[in-house]
Amino acid sequence: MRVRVLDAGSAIAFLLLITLIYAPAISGLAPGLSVAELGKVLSQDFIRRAFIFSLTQASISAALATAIGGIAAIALTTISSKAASIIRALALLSFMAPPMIVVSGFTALYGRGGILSLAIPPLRALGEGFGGVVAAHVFYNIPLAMNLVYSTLVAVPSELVDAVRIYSGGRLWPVIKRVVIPYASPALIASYALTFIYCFASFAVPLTLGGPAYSTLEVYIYYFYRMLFDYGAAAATATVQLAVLAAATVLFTLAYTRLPPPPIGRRAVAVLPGRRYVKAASVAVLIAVAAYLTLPLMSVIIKSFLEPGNGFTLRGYERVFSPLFDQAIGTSGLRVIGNTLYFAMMTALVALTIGSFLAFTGGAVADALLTTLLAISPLTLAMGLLNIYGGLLPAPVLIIFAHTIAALPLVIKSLRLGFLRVGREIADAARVLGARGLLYFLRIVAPLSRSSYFVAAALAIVVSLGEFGATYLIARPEFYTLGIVIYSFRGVRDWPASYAASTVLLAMSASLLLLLSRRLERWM
Amino acid sequence: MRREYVIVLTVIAVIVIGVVGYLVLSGYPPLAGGSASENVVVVYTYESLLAWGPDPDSVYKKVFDGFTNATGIKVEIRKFSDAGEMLSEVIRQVKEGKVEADVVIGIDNIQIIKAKEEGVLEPFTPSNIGEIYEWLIQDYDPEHYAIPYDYGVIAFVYDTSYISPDQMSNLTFESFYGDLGKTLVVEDPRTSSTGLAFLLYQIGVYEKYLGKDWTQWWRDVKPKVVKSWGDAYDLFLNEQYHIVVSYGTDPAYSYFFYNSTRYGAALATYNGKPLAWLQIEGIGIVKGAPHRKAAEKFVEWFLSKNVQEEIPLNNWMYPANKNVELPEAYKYAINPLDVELVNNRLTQEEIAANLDNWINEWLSAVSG
Repeated sequence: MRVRVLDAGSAIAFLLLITLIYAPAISGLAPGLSVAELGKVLSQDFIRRAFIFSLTQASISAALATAIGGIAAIALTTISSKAASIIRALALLSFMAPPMIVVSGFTALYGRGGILSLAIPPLRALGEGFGGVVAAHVFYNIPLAMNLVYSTLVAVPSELVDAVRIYSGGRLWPVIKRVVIPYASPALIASYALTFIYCFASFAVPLTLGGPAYSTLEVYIYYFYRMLFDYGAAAATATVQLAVLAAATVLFTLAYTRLPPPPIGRRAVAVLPGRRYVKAASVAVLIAVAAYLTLPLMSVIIKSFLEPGNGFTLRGYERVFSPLFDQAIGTSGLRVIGNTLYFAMMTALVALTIGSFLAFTGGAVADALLTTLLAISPLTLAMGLLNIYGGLLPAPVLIIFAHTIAALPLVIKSLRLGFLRVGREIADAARVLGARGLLYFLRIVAPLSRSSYFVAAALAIVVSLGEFGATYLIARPEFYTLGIVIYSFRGVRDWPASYAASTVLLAMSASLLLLLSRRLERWM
Repeated sequence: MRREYVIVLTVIAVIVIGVVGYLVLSGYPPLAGGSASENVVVVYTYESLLAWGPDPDSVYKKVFDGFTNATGIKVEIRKFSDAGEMLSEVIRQVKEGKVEADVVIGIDNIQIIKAKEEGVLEPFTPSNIGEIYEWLIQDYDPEHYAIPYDYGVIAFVYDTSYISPDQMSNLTFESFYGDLGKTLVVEDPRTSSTGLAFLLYQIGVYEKYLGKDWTQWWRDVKPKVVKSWGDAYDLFLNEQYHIVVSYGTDPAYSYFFYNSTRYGAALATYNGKPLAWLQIEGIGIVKGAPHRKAAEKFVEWFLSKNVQEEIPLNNWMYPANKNVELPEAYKYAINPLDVELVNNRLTQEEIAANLDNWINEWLSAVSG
């Protein structure tokens, strides 16, 4: 797709990017862009500590997630492709799981008195504090690293593997050194950088598992904005955060552009020799990773049916599905479910519409602009949206905006892939026959990339279902979503209700992802 | 039909559904939560209000449904995990000019400073104010932005199955250096009124009695900090931590329910004399409350003897209404009148001037 800066489609695309993303981002940061505000924030001990904590935990989490994800990706190439695709679908569920669910799961498993930490006390380190924050971040990002590395390994030509294997007499190390590492390293660097970005700006995990001793800058942005109403300090903290995120984004972009194009429908080459011990080790690694990724979610489901100390209950579900005003939420549970579905549907609609524009007409510049989106944390954007549109637009519209922005990178990526797969011959033929612009898009491109539209819609819905930070900053009770009320129910310590809300949310995301797992696989 | 029409029509249909969905969500009163009718009062409070008695449901009915029966005014309650979170929400509502709350229950003698600074309350003198202890009103807020409804002292509550009363006798803050400190759970002063009261207790003792740097205690002891009193008490009852920052009435609770003296309460001492921080909780009317008249009636109802006599055994604090007799179990409670109050040396003016700094210093100390 060429860069056509001057045509109408591109103009609209840039306008959208600016009004929806850049104006709010700048407005969110503006109050902090003064020496006085920055100085005030940076002179606080606790902000400096939060900065160091954000940096350390993100570096460690990213390293662990990348290492484990990378190893798991190599292990995936040794097993049957059917089994591999099931594991990858499961992993996607963890990557997309709403943060409050993950936090609940970690508390249930590894917290003081948790299911696993009772049996194996050292595991308690994963349930709170520094260890808890890192463990939850690793949980989130293993799938990301695994999928990125796996899709580059799929691109390894089998002749190359065979050649190296023959020349090295079937030994393992030369294959790793000459094939796996060179092929996987851009993916490893890209996933390190991306994981670092997500962990550095993490909000819900440190908010709940970390406590005041282990807070990220993102938590302090919330604290300044919502609890102290000190907008300047919030923006200054966001500015400090942006500097680090921008650097990581540059690293990510450099590595990402070196990745091979995602292959379609190719099977992974078994880069490792098919010896028995290799296979056994691979299976062991995959079982351990699958357990780590699924146990927290399973424990949430189980706990939703348990009254603490009293056995089986459905009370949590009754509360979540109740049409009556709920004192802990400020509206009814049923309405919250309605809100959640409504926001998800609208996010899919808006993100697909805008995404089509950007993916179809935007070109390289729009791509670059979208990548910079990674450097702007969800709370920074939410603050900006409130600054600019808070007085003009009702809260639900702002929430849909925030969700849309969160979903756009994924949506555009999947649409772009779909558009690329429209054969050149078909495109040329259509052009010759006079289909141009909107007509060409509507008659040729959109129908042919239907499949990527399904995937994009599913991803947008899942992102919307799971979004926590921005919704929490913007929403008032009548527009709360399930992701928020998990937190509200925790606040009043109604554990069955909190876990039930988590389970309902999880069921929504899981059913969508599983329904589309075959298509998703091609997208990843 | 041509394909592009199908696509365009689909998009239009979804937009229509979106708009209709929005209208339904924002305009359908039975689901919307809010109510425009005059015959309602919206009450904000913390989740554990009156929740600790032998029969919380019937007390709840007596207090809230009782009000409806007596006046015909419906009560809509919204609960927060802690009073601090409640106050943040009310400040936000007032700032945004979209006030939904009428009455707030649970603003304590420190939060009242912030509430007044932020201008979120409106003074109201209830007709039955004569039934409330005058000294409490003087200590809490002589201007009547809110009126006290109960009071009690902050204490270290400990589980005697793990901690012997000997270990807690002649307690000082320094006693927590070491093993006691490892099993102590406290509340975050940013979100919990109990936590804030405890922080001021500790600051008061260090600054006004010991003359030492108070932040050192937090740096060295590093107690477990959780978001709310409820979270802290959960950890204590699950026997994960054995000392919790709570209230001097807790032993009375333990005696009343279990006829047991398993849970003890201790105060930090100075020269052998117990020092305490008095927490006073008040009820007030929000500035710009949508149902002001109903709110006034509710405040008077809440301060009346009828409701106040439920306070000791259900909220486990001393009632502010002087006509209420204390139950027998209260002989095990720490009576605020028997101990030296640190509040007398740390004035509200001093707190108002320093609170933000103290919280910042506290954050620095615990994040180290």
